[in-house]
Amino acid sequence: MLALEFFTWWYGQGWLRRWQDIASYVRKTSQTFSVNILARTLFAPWRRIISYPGEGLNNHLRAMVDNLFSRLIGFCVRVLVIIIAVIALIFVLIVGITSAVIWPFMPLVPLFLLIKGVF
Amino acid sequence: MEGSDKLNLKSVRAKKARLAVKLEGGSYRALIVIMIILIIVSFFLFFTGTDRFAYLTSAIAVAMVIFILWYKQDLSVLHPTSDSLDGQLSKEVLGRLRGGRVNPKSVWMSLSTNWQSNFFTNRFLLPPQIVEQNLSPETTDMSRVWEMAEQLSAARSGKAIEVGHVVAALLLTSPALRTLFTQSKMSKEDIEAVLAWLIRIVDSEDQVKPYFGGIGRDWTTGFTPHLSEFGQNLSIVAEKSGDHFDWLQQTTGVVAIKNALAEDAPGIALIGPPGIGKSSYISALSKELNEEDENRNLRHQQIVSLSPSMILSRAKGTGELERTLMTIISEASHAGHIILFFDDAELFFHEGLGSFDITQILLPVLENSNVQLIFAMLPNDFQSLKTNQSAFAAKLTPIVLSELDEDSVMRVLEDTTLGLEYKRGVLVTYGALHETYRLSGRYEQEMAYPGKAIQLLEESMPYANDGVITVESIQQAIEKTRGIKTGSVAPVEANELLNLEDEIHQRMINQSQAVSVVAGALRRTRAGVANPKRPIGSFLFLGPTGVGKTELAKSIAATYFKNESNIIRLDMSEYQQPDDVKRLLAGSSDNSSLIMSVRERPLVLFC
Repeated sequence: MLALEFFTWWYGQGWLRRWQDIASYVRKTSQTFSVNILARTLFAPWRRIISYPGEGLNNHLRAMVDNLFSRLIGFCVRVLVIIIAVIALIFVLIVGITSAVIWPFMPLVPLFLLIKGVF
Repeated sequence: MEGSDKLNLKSVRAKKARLAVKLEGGSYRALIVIMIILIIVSFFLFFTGTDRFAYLTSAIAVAMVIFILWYKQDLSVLHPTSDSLDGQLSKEVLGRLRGGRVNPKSVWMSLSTNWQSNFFTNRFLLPPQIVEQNLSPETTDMSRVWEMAEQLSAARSGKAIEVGHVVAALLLTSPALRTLFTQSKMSKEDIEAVLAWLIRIVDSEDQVKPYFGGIGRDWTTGFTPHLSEFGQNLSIVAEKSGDHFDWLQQTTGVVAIKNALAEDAPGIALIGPPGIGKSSYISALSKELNEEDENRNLRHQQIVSLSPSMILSRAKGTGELERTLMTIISEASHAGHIILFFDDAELFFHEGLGSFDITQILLPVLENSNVQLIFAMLPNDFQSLKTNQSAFAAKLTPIVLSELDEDSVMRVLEDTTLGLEYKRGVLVTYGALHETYRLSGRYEQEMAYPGKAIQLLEESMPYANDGVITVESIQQAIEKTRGIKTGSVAPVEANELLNLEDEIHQRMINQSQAVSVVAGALRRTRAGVANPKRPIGSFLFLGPTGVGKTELAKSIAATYFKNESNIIRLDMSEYQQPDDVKRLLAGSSDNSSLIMSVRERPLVLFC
């Protein structure tokens, strides 16, 4: 009776959960790397380090260059983290989908190994 | 319908629950260890070329992996499945019940070792054997228990009936136990309150950790080195350990502060008496802002609390103090995500020992800066601010916090108790919490709830009896710290009370009628039959000089209040003019005033 219950769960709720978990892991990975925040603030100055322009064209130009540099640093760091996040997401997707695909075959694995061991 | 008929212990769910309960704890850990060993052995065998054994050990290891997955994701969770009783009972209940005669006694015996059952027996100081003796062995009585358990769990729709619900139902439906509870001055409401407390703990274990923004959250905000040095980031504290502020997030106080922030109020004055929990409201607000989803301007805003003592101790002179403050405010403004919280704000509004006036520095900040400020202050201090610094006070949005009701105070006490128990290694009974609420309300006038109740609970820690804080521990704390007797009368004291007249007559002769009237009033108060909101007694001793009016007062102080100096003596010849009344009733500003004397010594003799 319990064995039947196990198989019912394994090929029902258990398998369904494997697929649902993929979406959950993707969301968590994306949140851990703050992908949304980073994408929204991609060109924002790094840690708000900005220069305020003083009098004259020279100072204006210098402030503009400084601020552009701050934005460039911010952009580079954010893009780097987004790239790492994408790699992590791809890894999570591959592992998740693989585990969901092999899930129905898993109960057969011990049987297969047992046969291999005995014969 | 019989209780056992309602419950199908042969259902698949019941069998799964029993298997899950068997595997809990040690068995599960043993399975994991064996599985790991088998995997290592399999690798070793494959590596050494003994493939046949390697396949066999791998087969067992994989089978164990599959079983553990089933246990973790299905058996150990076991969500409610249907409206039938066995479909609603939690794994812990269903897995512990055995077949045969299911009656209140047998159900208690099955569940009595579970931590949720111990939670009840500990809070009510009820030995499990006493519960067992007072429960019915009749199966017919079980249907009432199940119905009660279903009723108690109805508020948690979609969730299982926990051990706590069943235990509470057993206690509530047993007439013998109800009598026991009544004798211990505990009511049905107390059992339900302890159940609500327990279920809060159970539910908090399942709580999903909110999303706080991830690693890149703070990369769009500025650095705050000075602010980090002088302030404490409450948002980070709330992120790590703010779960117990959940319910406070929904209170009108927090909602009002959040609305004011959303409407870009430059400054907020959070007004309330000491002990009302102003800092806790701000901690709850920090957590609320951490989780904010709707308002983008408030999302991920962080609250930093500034300590006046630390700023003062670091700044060498007035100039440096101003520079430090301006740097801090400038950093907060530049960071773009900081709300500054000034706790004990009165220390920032006037010059004195341990305080300094920064209103002139903060006024331009309130007028021009983008950083929002919150000041926690007492009602009197806000009034003084309005009088002395009207321009500054006009810039603040006042939010007056009202005292929590009894249920909320009890909830705060319950949450505080868990932390205190963990830190001090004690157990606090539910009766002790009730007594804490009652006695702190009666004898602590300087603070508001819940602060005064928490203070009394902390004060009672040294009076634990064998590690248990009981009603008597709380009464002892009041007696030792305030000199007020609140507990039941001990035999020695009873003897003293009965012979009070003789005691007084040892000091003075005659005046038997006056002595008898006074002694009677004192006895009534100590017996608890007098009105607690009125004085113990008001007596007018009339007579010519030398008959013993003052001596009788001194005798009462010496015998009942245990010290002749426990008298507040007012010479009425000093209060003959109308203006003298003001001097007599001067408030908390004058330490020698009547009001302050009574606050310091609430149980004292006026003469």
